[in-house]
Amino acid sequence: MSREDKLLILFESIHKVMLAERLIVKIYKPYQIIPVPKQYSSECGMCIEIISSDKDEIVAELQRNEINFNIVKRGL
Amino acid sequence: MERIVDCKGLLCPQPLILTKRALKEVVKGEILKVIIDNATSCQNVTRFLTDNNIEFKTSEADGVYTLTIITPGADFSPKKEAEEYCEISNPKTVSYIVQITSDFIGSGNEDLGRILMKGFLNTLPDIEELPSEIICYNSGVLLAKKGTDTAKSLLKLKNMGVKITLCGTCVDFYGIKEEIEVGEISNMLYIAEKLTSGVKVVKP
Repeated sequence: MSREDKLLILFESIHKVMLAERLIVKIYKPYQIIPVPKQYSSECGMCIEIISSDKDEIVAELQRNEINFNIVKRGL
Repeated sequence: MERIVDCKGLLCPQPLILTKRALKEVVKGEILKVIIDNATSCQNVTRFLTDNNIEFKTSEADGVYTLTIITPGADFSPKKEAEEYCEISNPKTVSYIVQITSDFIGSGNEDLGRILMKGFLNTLPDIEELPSEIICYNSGVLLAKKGTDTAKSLLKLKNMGVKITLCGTCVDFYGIKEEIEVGEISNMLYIAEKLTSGVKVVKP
């Protein structure tokens, strides 16, 4: 899978990353926890990398749980 | 008829697995072209084909290798698993060892520490120099358990040439011997020798 097939979900805090991870695990979608790339934040932080095709389902789950986030393309 | 297996950008054992799969699927006499863009994977696939008495020709242009295979037919059954031909030579690996002593990083909140560990393992493949080895002990061995995302990360590192070593005593203690996805089980003598050998040790 190339980087073009991946998206990054950015959150406002590590607490939201941890909560989002639990939700993504629950709906059986593959993901990776990675450090937030420097171009998105100069601070230490983690984000979640997902496969583009899973976006809609994961977004719906996060929105259902009222988690704020931004989605960006991996590698931009 | 001609079938192309494009392995560009893939690291061992993927080219081997895709070649094996294609060999099982093609019709006898069909021409199979396997395209690989790294020399190590090309050598591994070449050994796999030679060992299984499969005729092929190799051509190379600008670092891209094309193996043209006259296929043996659907009854092809390899002598050994394709993955066993995977030998890795990765110039990115250097002489430092990563010592992982628990399944989370730091002291304090363990859930936070687990997130940090995942971030660490998933970012290692992107840094300039890979470690030669990752040694896991105590609850660090849990990172290699089947079905965990951390095992996938360790597997990726292994496929990039990083040796993954697990403490056997710890694997026994946690009762996960049958559930290990990646890593070689070793003992404290080996671990002690490695950690005291003078090589740089990095502990996240």
